[in-house]
Amino acid sequence: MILLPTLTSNFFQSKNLTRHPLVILVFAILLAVFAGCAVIPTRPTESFPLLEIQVNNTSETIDDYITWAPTYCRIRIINHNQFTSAIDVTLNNMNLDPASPGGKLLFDTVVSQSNPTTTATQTTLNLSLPADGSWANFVIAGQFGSPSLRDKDAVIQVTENRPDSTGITLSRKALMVRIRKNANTLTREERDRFLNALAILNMTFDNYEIYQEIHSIAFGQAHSGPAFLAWHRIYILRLERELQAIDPSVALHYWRFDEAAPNVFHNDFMGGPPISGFADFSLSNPLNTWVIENLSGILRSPQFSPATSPTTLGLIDEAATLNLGGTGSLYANFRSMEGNPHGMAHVSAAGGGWLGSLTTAVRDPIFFMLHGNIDRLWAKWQWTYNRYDPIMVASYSPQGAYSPGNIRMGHYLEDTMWPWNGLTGDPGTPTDPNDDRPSTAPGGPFPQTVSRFLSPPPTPRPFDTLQYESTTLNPSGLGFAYDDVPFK
Amino acid sequence: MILRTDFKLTWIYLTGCLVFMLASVAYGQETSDRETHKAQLDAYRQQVAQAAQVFLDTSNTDNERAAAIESYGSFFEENDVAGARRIILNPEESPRIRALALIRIDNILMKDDSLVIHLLRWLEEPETPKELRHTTARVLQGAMFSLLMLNTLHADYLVTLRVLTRDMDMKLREMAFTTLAAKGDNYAQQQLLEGLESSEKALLPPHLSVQLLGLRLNEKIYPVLHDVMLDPPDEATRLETVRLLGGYEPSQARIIRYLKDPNESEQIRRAAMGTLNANDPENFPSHVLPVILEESASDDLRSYGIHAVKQRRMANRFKLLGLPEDEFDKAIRMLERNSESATIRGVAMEYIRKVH
Repeated sequence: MILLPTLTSNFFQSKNLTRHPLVILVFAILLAVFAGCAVIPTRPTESFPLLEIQVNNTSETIDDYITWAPTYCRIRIINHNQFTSAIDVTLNNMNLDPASPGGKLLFDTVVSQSNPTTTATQTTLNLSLPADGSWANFVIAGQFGSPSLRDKDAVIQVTENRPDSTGITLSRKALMVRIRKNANTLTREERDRFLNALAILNMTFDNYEIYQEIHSIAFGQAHSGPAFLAWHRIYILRLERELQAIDPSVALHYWRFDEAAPNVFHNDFMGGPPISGFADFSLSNPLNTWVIENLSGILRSPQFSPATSPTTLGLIDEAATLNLGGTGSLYANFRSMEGNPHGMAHVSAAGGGWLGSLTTAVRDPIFFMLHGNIDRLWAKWQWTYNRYDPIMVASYSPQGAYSPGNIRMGHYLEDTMWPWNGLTGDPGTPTDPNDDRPSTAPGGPFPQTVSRFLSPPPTPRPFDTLQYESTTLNPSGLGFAYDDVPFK
Repeated sequence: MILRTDFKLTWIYLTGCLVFMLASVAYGQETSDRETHKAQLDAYRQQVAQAAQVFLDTSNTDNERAAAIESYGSFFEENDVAGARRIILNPEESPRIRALALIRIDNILMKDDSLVIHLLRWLEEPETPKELRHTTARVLQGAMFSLLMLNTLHADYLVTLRVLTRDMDMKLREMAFTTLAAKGDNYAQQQLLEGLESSEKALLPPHLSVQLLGLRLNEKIYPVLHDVMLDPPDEATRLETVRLLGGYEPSQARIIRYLKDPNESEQIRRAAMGTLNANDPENFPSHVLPVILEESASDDLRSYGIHAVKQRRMANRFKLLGLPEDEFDKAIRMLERNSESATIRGVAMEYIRKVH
């Protein structure tokens, strides 16, 4: 390689061609190519490692969606027969610019995750990939404050560690840090994906109407009792998963009702100021052709303007809500939020519309965003006061299973909840009204998914809703997180 | 160990220390975030308690008392809640102060039937000062929505609402009818129907009565709405009836005629489209096609029709696989090429792109 330019030079000199422009140009190009080749890191082509990376330890990509919670992953050399020694690699986030938006990841070893209250914290991770092709395990998590904006915008990058620090990129794995966000802050793209998924669900044979059917008869199964929060956590999770079956990049975003939300109450999103009692939509908004129970449009007349919030009507704000637990921050007191802010949000947003009554509330899809915020407030209260352990009375009461008294069946910690348990009518004592259920149980058991098998179980209990985040001891959490609630 | 001359081991040791420190900082940071947040909530609670003292002090002026708690939506300390409760029940206090107190302890209604009984009583009484009465209505509406739904006093609440359907205060009357109608309350529905049949008996404007009856439709409501649609007291009422009658067979032919009539108002035609889309989705494309092809119709109206079919067909695309294009599809292709309206050409193009 060194001799060739010298020989070439001698040849051109002998032919008096050394000053010809074309010759000079060709020579310069050749020099550049050889010079470039000299610095390109190379390895013998027969030993380039091909890697496989699995998120959630499955080869499926439908479960490549993570939150702030630790997620088990693994990596291995596929063509390991070509290697006799381990390959040292560094894992990092391809999206390195802290100022650029989009999902960002953190890493950690499995060993350091022995504490169930911790999540991944490292921006890079060094691993040694066994030469026999066995898996090397690691943990990832979304970096709090950096959720994804779109599908697959968070990328694990695997770089080989070489002694001369000229590591080459061996592999990449794209995934999403999928987080429930304040709906008022969504990008246009996020908003439109959410609306499209919702509209498709609405238009696909009774897939949305089943939610209205369930809630319209839920009464004492889901309300006016301790399981109010637990029941609705499962209920809205079910809708979120159906939306994700349509578009996996969608999350159930929340309406932060103690703040002005002009982007939510807009005719390009959940509907602008009403016309003749009906929410106003732009023509291209998929919700403009909303139909439910043989009715069209969305009947809603908020008693506040988009520039204000229901706090002007007496709805309590987040700080007040989180203080409802009282001395000792007890669940038994905190759950009074079912009245204010929950009930107050419903009646304030409804005016004369559907949201104002249990039997009609779910006709209006903003119901799910309202309850997204109710659930977020519960999650935030849990985080603030460390109320994740279901067997602590402070986290949930009443404990145990149903016994005749003032509290209905389905509201005790260990009770399964209607409708997912399929129980109807009066299965218990005829003289005890607290164990009665509606005459039907629409919707069946909670559907299972590939990525979140048995989480929640087909017949969930309040018990199954408290530790909603996956941990290293309980890898199968419910699969959601909020943009302003850190991992426990 | 640090003094060992083995450079590699020293480097590993130092790196380990650095990693440990960083991890500790990260974990410590997370813990301190929670503690900071808790401290902020505790501080808030103390601020509320201090503000409550100003509010509860009757030697202060009403303006001073109101200003003190303006930023705080709820009282937390037991003494403050008890003090607020006394104020609510004290007729010597001004209605404004009593209303402010009520809003700040509404979550105790879960455990205070005695207070609920008081609230129901003065909500019914027209002599109760307006400000207090309206706040009471709002608080009860929020609490009764679900928290107190199974409370034994919920039935009493419904009785109070029925009384309010004849109240002189129109805002309360409307609130009462809305809450009752949404529950399918027979008494409220009967009042509304009688008001539509005979204007002397009307307790609400007819268009509002129709809208509220639409919250819980049943067989006895449809015939009345049909008659109102044919002989409406005003256009707003006719509009509300059209919205609701697309699934009522005796009305359907008339609604289809409204839809296809180029001399009909746009609002009525749009309402006709909506109700037919909701009640007759299979035939909706054929109902709406003449309007979509009508170049003199507004772009909004035509676009709505195309969007409605597009949404349904996009959602059910798997059912259309392998099927030949129907008349609607062919018409949309023609519009995409030839419509006089650029808007319609654009909407048609989007339909073709998304449905096929």
